[in-house]
Amino acid sequence: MNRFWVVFFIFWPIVAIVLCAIAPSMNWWFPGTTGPTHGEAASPLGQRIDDLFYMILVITAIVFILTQAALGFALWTGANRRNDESAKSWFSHGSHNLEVMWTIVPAGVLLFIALYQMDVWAEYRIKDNFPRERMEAVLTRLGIDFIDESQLTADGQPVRRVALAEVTARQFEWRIRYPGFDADGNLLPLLPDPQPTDLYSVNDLHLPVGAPVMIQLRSSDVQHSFFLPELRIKQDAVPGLVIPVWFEANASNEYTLLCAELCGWGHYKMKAQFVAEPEEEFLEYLHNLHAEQNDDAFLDHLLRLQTDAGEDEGLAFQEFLDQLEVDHNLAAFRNYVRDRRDEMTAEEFTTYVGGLDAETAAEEFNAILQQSSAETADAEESAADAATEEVLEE
Amino acid sequence: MSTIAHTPGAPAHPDDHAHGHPRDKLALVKQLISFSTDHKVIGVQFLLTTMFMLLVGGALALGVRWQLAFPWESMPIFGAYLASAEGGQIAPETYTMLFTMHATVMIFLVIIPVLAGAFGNFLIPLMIGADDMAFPSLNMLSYWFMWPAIFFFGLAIYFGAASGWTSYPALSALPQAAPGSGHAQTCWLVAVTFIGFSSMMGSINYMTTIINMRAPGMTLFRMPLTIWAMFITAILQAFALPVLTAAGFMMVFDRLHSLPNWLAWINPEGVHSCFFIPSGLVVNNAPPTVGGGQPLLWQHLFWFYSHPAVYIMLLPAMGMVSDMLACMSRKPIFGYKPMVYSMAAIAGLGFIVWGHHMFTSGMNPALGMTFMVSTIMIALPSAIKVFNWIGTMWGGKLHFNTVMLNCVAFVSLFIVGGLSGIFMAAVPVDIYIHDTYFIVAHFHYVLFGATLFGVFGAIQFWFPKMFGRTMSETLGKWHFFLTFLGFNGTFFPMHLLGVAGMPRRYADPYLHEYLEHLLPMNQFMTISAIVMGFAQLILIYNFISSMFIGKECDDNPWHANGLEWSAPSPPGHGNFASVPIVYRGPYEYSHPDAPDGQDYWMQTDPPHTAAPAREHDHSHS
Repeated sequence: MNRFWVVFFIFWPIVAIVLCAIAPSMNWWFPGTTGPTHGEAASPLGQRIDDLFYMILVITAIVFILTQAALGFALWTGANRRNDESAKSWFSHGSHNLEVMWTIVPAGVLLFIALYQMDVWAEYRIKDNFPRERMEAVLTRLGIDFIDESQLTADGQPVRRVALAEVTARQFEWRIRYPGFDADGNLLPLLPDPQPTDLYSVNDLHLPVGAPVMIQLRSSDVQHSFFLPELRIKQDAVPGLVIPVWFEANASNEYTLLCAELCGWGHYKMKAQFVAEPEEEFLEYLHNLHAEQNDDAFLDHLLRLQTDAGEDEGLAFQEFLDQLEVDHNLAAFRNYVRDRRDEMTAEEFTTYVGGLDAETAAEEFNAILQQSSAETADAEESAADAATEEVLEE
Repeated sequence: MSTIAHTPGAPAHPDDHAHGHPRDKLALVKQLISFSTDHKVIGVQFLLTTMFMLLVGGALALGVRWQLAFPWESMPIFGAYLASAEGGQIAPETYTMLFTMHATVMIFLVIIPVLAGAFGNFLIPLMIGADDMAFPSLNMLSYWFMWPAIFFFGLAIYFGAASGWTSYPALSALPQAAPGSGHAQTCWLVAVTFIGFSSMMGSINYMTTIINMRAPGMTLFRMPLTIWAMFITAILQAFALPVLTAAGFMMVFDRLHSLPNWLAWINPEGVHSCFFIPSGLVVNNAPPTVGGGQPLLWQHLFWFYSHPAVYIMLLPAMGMVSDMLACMSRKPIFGYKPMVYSMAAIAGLGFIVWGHHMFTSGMNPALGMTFMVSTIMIALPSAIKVFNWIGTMWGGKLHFNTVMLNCVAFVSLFIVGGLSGIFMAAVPVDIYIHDTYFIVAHFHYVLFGATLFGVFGAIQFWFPKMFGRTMSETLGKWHFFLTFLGFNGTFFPMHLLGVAGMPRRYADPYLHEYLEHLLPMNQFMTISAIVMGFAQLILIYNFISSMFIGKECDDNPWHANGLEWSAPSPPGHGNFASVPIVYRGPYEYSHPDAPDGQDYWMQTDPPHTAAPAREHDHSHS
């Protein structure tokens, strides 16, 4: 029976090692191990983090095997000694030389591990070590005038606005603010405070691929954590702090963005995507956002259709739109009409808009507006209740 | 050296009534519900309470595991109690309560009190040859202060505390931030304060007792490692705990929006400080705050206590395992002094590593580098201890009984927990694995794999001293076998989940595509956890039944050297018939000069008079 227990204690480390050895082939390893990326990090910094991970893995695996083997040997011989009546324990209080040896050797290894990690950390977090030149090159290519002469840093240099987006975490979504375009269509730098020209999206972060880009990370309520597993990037979003985070995706792709710090009951569903794309596509994405949020081409179209129908109606409709703007309901109206458009074919939509006079549009819209505001009030009544219901519906 | 002026050999307690008659083996449990000031009764009170709490914490853990394996499916048995409103289904806010309270119960009501409270109380006076603690009434209070804590933690479960056991603000500081941030969080904070009082009273007592009440001849370097561990732990506790208590009060003030009527005279507007709350937060319908606080302050204060607390949760087990390993290997502990110094080093370094919990928190990155070096270096004393434990077993005549099995498991699993710590101590690697299942694997290997296995061994080892009977070996081995398999089946795969990037505290990780394929592995882990959970019923049954039907044994069933084994089982009031005199250290197993036919040489055995006594101290090790 003694030997059974010895085998038992030798057996489990072997199982553990086998499990780790087959883990990559079973896809129990870095995200996407069995996919086209073979689990490689999608960023140069992430690859260096992985290299450090593997280095520590090799060192710890050696130590693990040696110590478990020594333990197994001590147990095996100890069991034999137990089975032998005449055998005696080795009487020893220890060995000074051994103690010195197994203090100095591990100390050297550990110190090496610690010092070897410094560079990657410094590059990721210490501001002076950020790859600023490459970040600024991206901004230059995007045509952003990022040197702000109006404000000076402590050492008298103009402030350089390197961030391309501001990511604000809140329960339970990611709100993203991009810089907008000026009247001439040039991309502006991202200022710390929201500007009328800014562009917004939710749970959808787009940034250029193949170069380091920086975001400003903040939280509007509790603590969250910005986690891009495929890029090996993580940074907490702390209420009251604005934290610069940079990363570099090395392939155009959609990556997972999620929250890694407990932020409430909905922590698990702060799901978002990070789209790394070539600079042209990024600009196009911003242009589309701009169009959706500022461009009134669609309203112009609507107005023209109305005007074609008759001058008076066109004017009445213009008044209706002006009123909406005063009431801050223009965006809602745009959404409302856009929803209609999504429901219909292009022809049906044209007919629908053609048949829409200002009075009916206003009536229909106000009814919907009231309904939705009632819903909002209900929804806000208790976030928790809503959550429970939602789960039950699932 | 003891400073108590006893005449050696004179009765320690002239009015001792326990001697002379056959002893009542159940004397200690019979006083279970009493305000006894006897350290042994208090130790047993702590032990039974923590064993019950182990079941509570385990049930909460099974709730967590259920949800991870079978998301949104009705939970059997516990579902009816935990989530009756949802038809047994775990709602996300219930899930946050489950892992919050699992950690809270296991840390504050199981591991800390079972080590310091149960074994610290029971063993310290017995092992140093004292008749009781220095402050018996304080000792009694330290147990009974646990009950208000249990009551308020119970309320926290009922209201659904949901900020994690770390209670990071602003989630925990603003009652509107989450369903569990209201009364539940207040109850949680009150309970932590009570448990803090309890720990502090114990810690003062242990330090005083160990310094002042050692028997004649019990020099510092003749103390068993258990006592060294308890001593160092008490120091850690005494210096770290006030910080947590202060932080807890600061958070309570942050949360006081309005005072009850009878306190309104202080300020009708409420207190509502902003230690941890910055300005400009928009949290549900919370009124705007003045702000000016810093959430990171809480993290610093919290971890300044809670990192040393990790060693509070480990060092006593290390000490007890050292004693048990030496006894079951029939060998002196290998490198006694390095063992003491490495424990002291762990405790010292333990105060300057708290920042490794905050590598991704946004604190000054230069601090990250400092904390990385100190954290990686704390692996060194841990490594030295592991080598010395293996050295202790090396060349021994090993007893493979339940005690030994649990101790070997302690060493074997602590190696894993120690090595996985290096990954997270390295800041760049921690960027990725921080707050993933890798950390969950790591701390369960240390706190369960090491500490709890050590405790299982210690229960079996010192049970005879408590009740004069031994626990069943067969049941003990079955409990060990199932727990060990269940433990590794549950927690080893968590390393892989961590590498796969699965974040912790997710009610439904499979919402994210890159984690979907990990469901079968989680189901395997949950089945292992259920096996492990039910295996604990064997322990409880073994413990309770052995009190009545266990094999009767003499005072020293393990042929161990420590002072406690020269006292009767169970020791009467005052512990020793006469003040014991200590002639040597506690690890003289298989000593060539030991009395005839014995492979042990008790600390109280007088040296041979015939042969000139060789002083076998540990000074030459």
